[in-house]
Amino acid sequence: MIRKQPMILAGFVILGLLDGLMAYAWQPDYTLSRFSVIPHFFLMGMLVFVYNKDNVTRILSGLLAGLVSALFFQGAFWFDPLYFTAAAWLAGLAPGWSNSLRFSWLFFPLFAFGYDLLPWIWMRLFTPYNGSLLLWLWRMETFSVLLSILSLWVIRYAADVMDRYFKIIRIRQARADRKKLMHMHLSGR
Amino acid sequence: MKRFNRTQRRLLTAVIVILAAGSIMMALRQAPLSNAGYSAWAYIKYGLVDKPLTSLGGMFQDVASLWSVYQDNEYLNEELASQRSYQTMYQDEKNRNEELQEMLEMKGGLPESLQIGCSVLNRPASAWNQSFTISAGSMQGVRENMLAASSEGVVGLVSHVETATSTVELLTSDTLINDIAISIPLEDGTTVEGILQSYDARKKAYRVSLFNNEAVITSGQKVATSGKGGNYPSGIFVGTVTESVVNDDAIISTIYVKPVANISSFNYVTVIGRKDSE
Repeated sequence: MIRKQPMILAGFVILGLLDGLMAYAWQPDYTLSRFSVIPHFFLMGMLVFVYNKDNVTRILSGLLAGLVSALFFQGAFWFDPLYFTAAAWLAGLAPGWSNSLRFSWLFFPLFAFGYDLLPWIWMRLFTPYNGSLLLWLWRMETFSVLLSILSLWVIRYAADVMDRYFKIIRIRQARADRKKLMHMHLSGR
Repeated sequence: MKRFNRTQRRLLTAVIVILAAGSIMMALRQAPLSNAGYSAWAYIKYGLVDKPLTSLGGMFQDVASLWSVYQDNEYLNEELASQRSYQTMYQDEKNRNEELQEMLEMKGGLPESLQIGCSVLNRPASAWNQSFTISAGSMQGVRENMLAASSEGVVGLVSHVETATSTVELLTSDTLINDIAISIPLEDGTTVEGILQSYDARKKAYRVSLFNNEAVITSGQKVATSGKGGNYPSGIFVGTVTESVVNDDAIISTIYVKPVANISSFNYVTVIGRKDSE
């Protein structure tokens, strides 16, 4: 029988691989001469997984996801572990927004945007790079944010389906256990 | 301190393991022994992640470039097709140019004659060896019985004249309107004269009767007009002797003359007549 946790792990692996594949197939143009898209499937998946967990679980999950992203999916060490940890913790601070489908599609993609914005600010402040913010927002982030929103919907839908499936399995298992117990009591008499 | 639940313990363990493994790898990177571990790790990462992603990406790029290769191929095929037609057009123009050059040289060689240059307007396939129509007529000074010569020599006689066009009867025709008076220069400086009477389709040569049966005629000798009959001057090349027919008395009476090389295919002719015939 399929178990939930291996399935979640497999899902994260798939999201990470998709990130890498898409980044390879449609490489971002940092000269901003044409539109680019940066995928953040792994980050979105992590946020969907942790937003309704307690603080410690969120922090540990974020840290683990960041380490995995940095080591296995061509992320940046220590930026990814720190950012993922912070994002996971912050995502659970506004449960109203995170829980609501109406607001989560605005709230979660902000973290994807921040993941791109922070390195840009660093480059602008500490390197000779002097690209235009508006041009960067238009050419680089427009489709990236739209993709993040779309991926968020898909991942949330998949997560809901998976939760319902395992709930049904648990209910059926519980019913089967109750029936077995009744049988035992009746046969025991 | 709150105790960790099972999930938190698992997460913590995973974080510690990954940090430890990463630290060990980083620390060992500088040691000679590290090459095995570091390389093994690099190979694992390459084999499981980088290579599949690179291969997939390469596949997408190949498919994309196939499309542009296809479009380039279509364009180049069209260009090649038009190149072939340009080649044939060029060759045709080149041939016409050479023909006109030769006719120009011929024109210079007959200063006392009337020469009218014109092009072949029509030469029906059903009467290919019989006649053709030219683009000059009475307006240009063409008269009947004038000679029509291509760049290589005589090809026919003008048989019918209209205002702007004329009909030329080829020397290879079955019904030649007039005999052609010819002469053959001999080695001793004399000439032998005769008349071109008809065309032998079997031998593919003109049949020429000589006035002097005792003349020694050999194959390869040049035959030209004598200017003694008709409306044309002398010295215009008619053909080359191919055969002499000797009768029972060992006297040559008939010779066969091969027509000019391009009698089957010419685009321009010069109508030649005497200047006093205007």
